[in-house]
Order: sequence, then structure tokens, then C-alpha cells
Amino acid sequence: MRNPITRVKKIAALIMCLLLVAAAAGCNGDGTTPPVEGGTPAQEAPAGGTVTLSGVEFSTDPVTLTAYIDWPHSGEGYGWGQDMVSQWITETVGVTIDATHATTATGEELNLMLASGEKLPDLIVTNGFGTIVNNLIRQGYVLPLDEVAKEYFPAFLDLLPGGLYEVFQEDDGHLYRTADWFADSERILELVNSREDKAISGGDQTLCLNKKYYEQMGSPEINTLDDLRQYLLDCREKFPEVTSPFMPMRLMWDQATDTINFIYRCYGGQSWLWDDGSNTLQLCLRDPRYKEAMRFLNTLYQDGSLTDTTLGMSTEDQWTALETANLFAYVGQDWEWFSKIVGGSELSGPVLPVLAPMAEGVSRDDLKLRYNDIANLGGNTAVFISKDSENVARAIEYLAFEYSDEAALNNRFGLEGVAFEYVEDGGVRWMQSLLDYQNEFGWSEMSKKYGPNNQTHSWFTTGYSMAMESPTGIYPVKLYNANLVAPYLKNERLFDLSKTIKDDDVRMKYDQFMQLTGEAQIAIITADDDAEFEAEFANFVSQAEALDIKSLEDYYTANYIKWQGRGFTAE
Amino acid sequence: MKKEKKANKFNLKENLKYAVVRQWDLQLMVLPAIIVLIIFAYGPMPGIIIAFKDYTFNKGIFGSDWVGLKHFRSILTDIFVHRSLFNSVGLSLFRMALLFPAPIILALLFNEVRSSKLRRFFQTVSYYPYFVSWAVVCAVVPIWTSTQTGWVNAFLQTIGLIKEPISFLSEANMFWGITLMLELWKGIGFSAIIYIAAISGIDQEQYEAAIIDGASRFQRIRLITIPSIAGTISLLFILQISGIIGGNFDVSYMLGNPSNASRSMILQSYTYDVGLLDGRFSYAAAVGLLTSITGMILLLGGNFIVKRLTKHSGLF
Amino acid sequence: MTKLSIFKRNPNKIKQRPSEAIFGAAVMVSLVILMIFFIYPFYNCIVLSFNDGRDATREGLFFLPRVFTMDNYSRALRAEGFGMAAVMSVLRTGIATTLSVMVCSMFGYAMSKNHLRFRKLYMTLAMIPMFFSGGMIPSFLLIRNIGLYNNFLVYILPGLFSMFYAIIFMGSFREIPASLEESAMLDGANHVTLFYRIILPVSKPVIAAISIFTAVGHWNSWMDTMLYTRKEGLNTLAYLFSKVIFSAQYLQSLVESNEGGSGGGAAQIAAEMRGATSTSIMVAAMVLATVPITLIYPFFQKHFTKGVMIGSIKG
Repeated sequence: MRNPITRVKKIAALIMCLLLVAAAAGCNGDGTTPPVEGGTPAQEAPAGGTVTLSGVEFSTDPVTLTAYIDWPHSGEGYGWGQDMVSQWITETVGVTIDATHATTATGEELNLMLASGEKLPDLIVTNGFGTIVNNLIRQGYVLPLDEVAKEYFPAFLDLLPGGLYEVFQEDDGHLYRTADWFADSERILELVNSREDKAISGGDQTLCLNKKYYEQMGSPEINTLDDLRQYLLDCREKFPEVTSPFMPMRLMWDQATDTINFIYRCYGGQSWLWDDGSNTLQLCLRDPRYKEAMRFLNTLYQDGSLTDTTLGMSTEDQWTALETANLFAYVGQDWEWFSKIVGGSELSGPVLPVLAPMAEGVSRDDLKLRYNDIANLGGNTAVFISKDSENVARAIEYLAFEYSDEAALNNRFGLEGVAFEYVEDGGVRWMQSLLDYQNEFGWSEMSKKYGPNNQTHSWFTTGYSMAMESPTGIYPVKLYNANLVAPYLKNERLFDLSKTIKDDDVRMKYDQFMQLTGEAQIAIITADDDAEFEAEFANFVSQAEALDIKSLEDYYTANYIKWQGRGFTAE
Repeated sequence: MKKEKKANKFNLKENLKYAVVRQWDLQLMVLPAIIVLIIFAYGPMPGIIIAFKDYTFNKGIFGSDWVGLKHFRSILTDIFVHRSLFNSVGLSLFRMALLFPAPIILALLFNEVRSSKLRRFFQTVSYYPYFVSWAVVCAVVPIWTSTQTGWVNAFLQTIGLIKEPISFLSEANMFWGITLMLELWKGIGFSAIIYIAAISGIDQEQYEAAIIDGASRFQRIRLITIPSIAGTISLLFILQISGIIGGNFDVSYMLGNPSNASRSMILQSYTYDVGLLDGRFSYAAAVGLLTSITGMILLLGGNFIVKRLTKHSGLF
Repeated sequence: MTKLSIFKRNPNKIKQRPSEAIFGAAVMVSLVILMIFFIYPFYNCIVLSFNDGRDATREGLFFLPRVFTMDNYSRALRAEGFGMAAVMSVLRTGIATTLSVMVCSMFGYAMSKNHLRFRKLYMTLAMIPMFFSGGMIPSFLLIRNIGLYNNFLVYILPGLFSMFYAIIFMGSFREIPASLEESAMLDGANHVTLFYRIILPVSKPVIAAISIFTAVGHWNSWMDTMLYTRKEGLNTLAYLFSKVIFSAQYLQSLVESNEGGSGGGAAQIAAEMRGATSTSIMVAAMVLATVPITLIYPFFQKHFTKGVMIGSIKG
């Protein structure tokens, strides 16, 4: 019998050969990937100089800041210095970011780093909503940015979007983290109003119709919820092959695009909290109008316009449905559909957003839609300066730089003249060359080259940059007049602030409640008859009370009063 | 006689002497394992005390404040722990009932295949799913069960079992079925191998004698094969029971979502969620401790049952 | 071996009763159906891995790729450090499996002797950690304090002993007839030599089985790489592939939660990512990750043969 050891060796050798061959084969690029450009090393700015942006002087000395980014790396090719924007940042203010990414999205590695007392990098970038934020702040791992700014770079506070400091300061009065997607309402409204075209898109909560079927149906008026219901029934009769007549894009409490919340607002409701006039906050499930909104969705379900299959779709499935136009109407973001079309640059996609249909007896004047661009508190991403940083002065300067208008625009759009250009109404728009590139190679390749929203550095997306995007001709939507939308936005912001939870035990309550809503709302919507609807709804309420949501509501009310005391009014 | 009875009392010195002098070879064989255990298994164990503390990073394990039974009291009112417990135990019972006999049956089936080439082919195929890690499987299951493009729905619709595609991962009632089937698919080959190995140790003469006596195949299985591997079966039975409070973390964690949460949440995934995502390490440690204690009780119970019911000695 | 062949080929032509034939047929049929269910999911994945990602999301793929492409594989293989990770995985699996099997089998053998002093103590000592563990943070701190952080040995040492496998060894060693041992002891061997010269060769099936289990465990293990190492050179294949999977899932979850204003870039990235980057690459990675281990398996499988015992007793 042959010596078994040689056999093992032979097999092992065979495997190694196979792997190496495969690896070598993989090295030859093929398929639709753009030709790899030799990365031009970022030129360093002359030392000792300064550059002025947004009226503030920044140093141009080269420096490398280390960062830990608490989410998985976006994939091959995303690295500092690969795209135009990060190159521009290094050339302009001399900063290079040396980042390490987490492997998973659950935060094990950051927690271990803190537990083990390891030296922390200059910057820590995390999801702004996790409990790690509280831990970092309360246990002293991060520095108060306002103090640091006052000592090293006071201009930071001027460049912060208006209102951000007030909203994100901790109870001890200090600001520890930056926030992105924060809407500086006044400035944004100013910008929008300065444009000729004062209309804005429907935003996160829009009813969108499939244009193709809508035109074939004779473009009927849909002004009320009953109209919508009837429209769906009529469409189904004429086009029975469509399997997802009505598609709610998201059914999730506290999500801006939540369909239930949209319908609730069509009844005159607002947000997920409810002030019945007594200056206290209750969860909206206590509001009779919320129940009516649920009833409407249940009606659609009982009609058969909202199917189980649709409710159970994964995001991938939803996109397939959008792409194959397998629906009559959906509620979600107005640009959601057309952006799924190749390259996202189709101007005349099959989507037609319409004004929100109102419930019976509710006038459009009472409609309070959530327009995220102006109301958004953001804070999805938090950037901290750690206590171990040895480059504190440059770090705070970098944060300030990122909030300058030039940096904000470039992070969002790429470089002027190469990626974006100014248009007639004063806003900016992507250039055709970029859109062509995107069409051919896809968004992520485009972002790797030109830099828009590149995860390597765009942690600071500001409301200003959002507002600068000219909607003219890009989005097939122009629904609302900015002035219409503005007045109740302050109210929305007050509610959002009241909803912010900083206490761990309350957070646990909230998580439990969230679990409950996920299941209960589906159960209510899919009730087979009215009796079951009533039963399920009552069940929801009683389960919520068993969870002691009263303590949650009390916490919210306390916040409500506190923020009102800080000058946020409920108009 | 009296002297013997006295000798039964445990004398440490005597035993140590005996062990070192007369049993040095055996004791040496046990040593590496014990060393590894003490360092890596018992080393971190003092960390369990954070279940009785309010652990924060900067105070460390030993510097954090004592809170006694506060977390355990919270557990009593935590509906998610109750639900997780229900799912963990329920799933485990079904797992014992369905997934425990399955590999035995499979091993027996394999044993009946005449051609060794065919038998090896079947074995290889059945074992293949074990090679794939759970992370990958869970990442792929949504594709398989997709209502638009998945083959599971397409298959069921083609054979006429269902009319509309079912979104399997959104139905809470289906979750247990899904988990068990995945575990079966993935693990049956694994366990079958152990039984195959045990069967291969059976003395062939018994079979020949039985054939000459005219026993049918079925009888041969029932009267020879099964009793011969009874020891292995009972061993694995006890081991499985010890995992009864366990459950499949990967499946629950990755395939769980709000729609099926009422059935997908198990103790391990809830502990993980609370511990890492919420950062409440002390509370998670308390839930973990409770889980462990319950599992231990069940193991001792299972061992006791096996000892009573069969001639084979249990673990203890 | 000759006795076995009688059983298999049935040259004495003992007439099969019809029930036997039916039984045999039933066995084959059920096995074949089962095999289909084992193979098809993989086949489906292989088909998906060779198909263009975007196209795969349009309609289901069942038997053949619609838009054939090697793109997914080349992108999966281009993961940085692939070659080194392959070496690391092989090294780790090989060394850890060999050592681990040795440690567990020795322990199991010694424990199978009822006259072992302190046996009950060892038993209890080994069983307790099956339920209780210190938790992630204490384990991490221990690894650091010992100096195993960022060290290749962290792949080998902590996992050396598994009570689960030790118990299986224990059980199988118990089944070995005492006569075997006695004959060797008569020649003056101690237990260690007895173990290596006689017991192990006789227990080939069990050893092969446990070896394969351990090997697969090590091959697929990625979490220890993530938690206990930092050097890129210590990455394993399993870890690389897990990173690919998590990146894709993360972007997916961004879209599903959809925080942030309209026109959000993250959502657009994800919308794009559903192309070649996410699921099809994942599937290609899955196929790649399982190929090496399956090559080894048939080699081990040879050892699950019957009647190995007979020769050694009679001889």
C-alpha cells in the first residue's frame, strides 16, 4: 500500500496549485470594469501656507489623521486618494485620512477597542444612532468639540450649520459629535426661495403612480383616499396581470418613508407623536386618526389591492417589481423608482408623483407632510475626536473644513467643472460626462473616480449641499411650493427632538416597542375582516401598554417641555 | 470486608501517589486537554460577574459597581426573554424529535447500499452542505426563497403545491420549519458520519450468521445494527440534550426580521442583540448566565434519564 | 476482507425474498430523491455565480446561466491578500486539526478507562465550560494578556480541546474489546505506546470523522480572525469572504433603513451595488470557499470502511 503521507502531500500540492491558478486567473481584469488609472499621488500643498474657504483661513500643512470607521468597507477601490475629491482635500488643506474599517456592522471591534484600553485613533466615525455614541461620550473617550474649537479653531462654530449646536449638545452643554444630513432650515428655505422655481419634490413621503397605466386609465383625478382606493380597483379590473397593485415601500415606525405614517398624515396627523392639546406627548397609536389610517390600509388589503406577497417582499424584490413596472402605485420616495433605472439619469421615468390624497373631510391645508430636506435632524453619522488624539488642532480644523460650503458641495457632487456645474436657477447639477460614465460603469465606479458621496470622506453631507441640487429638469417632480411646506416644519423638528433617547433603560423600552410595532402593524393590516381588525388593533394597544409605553411617553413629554424651553416652538 | 469498605473513602494522598506512579501514562494523556481548559475556558470565567455589576468600559470588569440581582429582576419582566426562551426550548424539542433520528436513519440507509462507489457518492453529497459556513448559507437563503426570483417558490408552484409565491422569511409560523430544514440539510451528513463510523465497527460475523438464519434486511437492521450502535446513539442523545437550550444563532440572527421575530428570536440572538447592538453587556451576561444554568439542569436530567433507561452509562 | 466480499456480492445466491427487493428499491429511491435536495441548492448557487448579477435579479435562474460571466469570480478572487489568506487557511487548518485530534483523542482514551484516578474531577472540569463562558470581552482580554493577540498561535491553542469530540472518542474507545489491549499490555507496553500503535490505527473511522469536523470548523472560522488579529498577513480565506458578504449586507441594510434625505448617495450606492457586487459575488465566494475542503473529503472518506477490526483481533 502506498505511503499515505506522500498521498497527503500530493493532494495538498494539487490544492495549492489550483488556488494559485485561480488567483492568477482572477488577476486579469475582465468584464465591465473601467480601465485602471494609475493613481496619481496627491500633490502636497506648499507648507506653511493657508487657503481661504467660505471666508475662513485653513492651514495647508500636510498631516495624516487616523480614523476608525465603524462600518464595513465599501469594497475594492474605495480608499483615500483614489477619487478626485479626496485628492482635492489633500491638495487644498494637506489632510490625508488613514482609515481602518470595521468588519461587521455590529460594533464588536469598537467595543473591544474601548474595553481593552487601546490607544484610540484621532477620529472615530460611527453610526450616529447606536448606544456606542452614549458610551463614548459619557465614559470620556471623546473630546468636547466646542471646547476644542474655542481653544484651537473658533471658526468651527461659525461654519457649523445653524441649529446643529443647539440640537446636538449634550445635557452638560457641550457638543461632542458632528452630524450629517442636518437641515439648516432657514438657510435652505432662503436658497430655495431665491430660485425662480420655488417648487420642491415630494420628498420622502409621496404617492407615486405608474405613468404607463395611469395614462391608459385616462389620468383620473386622485384627490382623496377614496379616489385612490377606487383607482386601484379600476386598474386591477383592467390589468389583472399586475401582481403588486399597491406597494408600500416601507412599513416601519419612525422611518421617514413609512407608508402608515404617510396615510396618517393624510388624515391630518403628524409625526409618530401626538399632542392632543394638553402639551403632553403620546404615541400616535392613541390618536383615533392613526386607527383610521390603519383601517384604510386594511381596506386596501381586504379589497385585494394590497397583497400578502407585496407585504412580504424583500428590498430586492421591491426593486424588481419597480423595474418591471409591476405595480400601479407606491408610497415612498419620489425618486426611488427612477433611480433604479439604469444610471438613474432617465428623465422621464414611468413614475408620476401626485399630491397626497386627503381623507374625507380633511383639507389639503391641514396636510403636514414630512419634507426631510428641510426638517431632517440627520445625525446618521457621528464623527468624534478621541481623547488619545495627538493632532487635536488639525482635527478640529478638518471638521470645520468639511462644513465649509466648498467642501460640502464637493463631497456631495464631486469637483466643479469636472463633475458638476452651475445651472440657470443658481443650483448645481451633475454634468453629462459624469452621467455617461455612470451609465456605462455604474454608480460605485463613478463614485470611486469622481468622488460624490464616497464613503471614504463624505461623512458630513450638509443640508446646504442638498438644497443646492437643482431640481429643474432632473427629478420629474415638482409638487410642493416650499412656502407651503415650511410652517409646520418647526413642529416636526420639535417632535423629532422629543423622540431622541439618551437613557439606556428607556432605549430598551423603545426597542421592545419597535419589535412590537413591526409585528402588530402587519397583523392589523392583514386582518381578514373588520371584526379581526378591531381585535388586532385592540391587541396592539394592550400589548403596548403591557410593555409600559407610558414611561416612554413620559420621557418624550419631558423632552418636549425641555426643548420648548430651549426655544423650539410648536407652532 | 470492612477493610474494603474503608478503602472506598477517597484519600487524596493515596490517589495522587497512585496516579503519578502507576498511572503516569494515562494522566499524561489527560494533561494537555486540562491545561488548555484551565487557561482558555476557565481563564475568562471570572468575567461572568459582570452579570451582577453595571459594567462600563472605563471602570473595567473589577472596578464596575455592584448591582446584585437587578438584571435578573429585569429579566422577569422582559417579554423578549420569555419569548426567546419559548422559541429556544420549542425549537430544541422539535430538533430532538426530528433531527435526532434523521441521521441514524440516513446512516442505516447508506449501509444498505450495495455498491461502495454509490455509497461513497451518496455520503459525499449528503455531507457537502456541512462545508459551507452558516454565514454564507444565511446570506443565500433569501435568494432561494425570494418570491420573485427564488427557486423554492418556483418549484412549489410548478408541482402545484402552492398558487401564490410565499414569502417564507416573513411568516413567523414558518420560521421553525425553515430553521429545522436548514439544519437538517446542513447537518444530517455530519451526524450520519458518526453513526457510519460506529456501524463500520460492527463485527461482520453477526450479519453472516443472521443471513444464514434467514433474517430479512429489515430484521438485520433492527436486531443487529441498531443495538450495536446503541452506545453511540445514547451518547449523542445526551450531547444533544445538553444543547437543548441552545439553538441556531446564525439562522436566528441573520434570517430574523421584525415579521418573523415572534418565532425567530432565541436566547442567543437576543443576548447578542442586547449585548452588542445595545451595548448592555451586563444585562446580556445575566441572560447568558440564566441560559447556561438552564442548559446545565437539562443536561443532568438527560443524563439521568439515559442512565435509567439503558444499560449504557451516561456521561457521569 | 474476503468475508466482506461474501456479504456484498452474494455469490451463494441466497434467494432474495420479494420483500427484500422492494426494500432495496425503496432505499434507493428515497436516497436518490434526498440527493436531489442536497445537490440542487448548490447547483443553483453555481448557476447564479456564473450569471451576471443584475440579470439574476430580473427573473429566476434554475438550470443554466442566462448571461454567462466570469466576472463574479474574478472580483471575488481579486480580494486583497487572497493568496496569503489561502496559505494561512491551509496552514491553520492542517496544524490545528492534527494537534486538536491528538489532544482530544488522548483525553478521550484516558477517560474511557474507568480506573483512571480523578476521572470524575476531569469530567466535571471539562463539562462545565460547555455551558458557561466568560463572554466576549473577558475572552478577548485574556487573549491579549497572554500575548496571543495578533499571533498565529491564537488560531491553534484556544481551540485545541473540544469536549464534544472528546466524548465521541471516549465512546468509541470504550467499544474496543479489552482483548486487544490485554494482548499488547502483555508485551510490556504502556498506555501511550498502546494508544499510538494499536488503538489509533483501529479507530480510523472515528478519527477520520472527527478530523473532518475539526478541519471544517477551522476552515470556516472567521470571527477569531476579526477579533484577535490585526495584521493583514494573518487573514484567512473565511475572513476575506465574510468581509465581502458583510459589505454587501451592510449596504443593503442602508437602503432598507433609508435614513437621510432624498437623493441620498448611500441608497444610490446600494441600488448600484445590487449589480455584480452583492449577491452574485457572494455566491461565487461561497463556491470558492467550499471547493478546497471538498477536495480533501474523499481522501478521508476512504477510512469509513467496514471490517477494519476483524483482522487485528484474529491475527
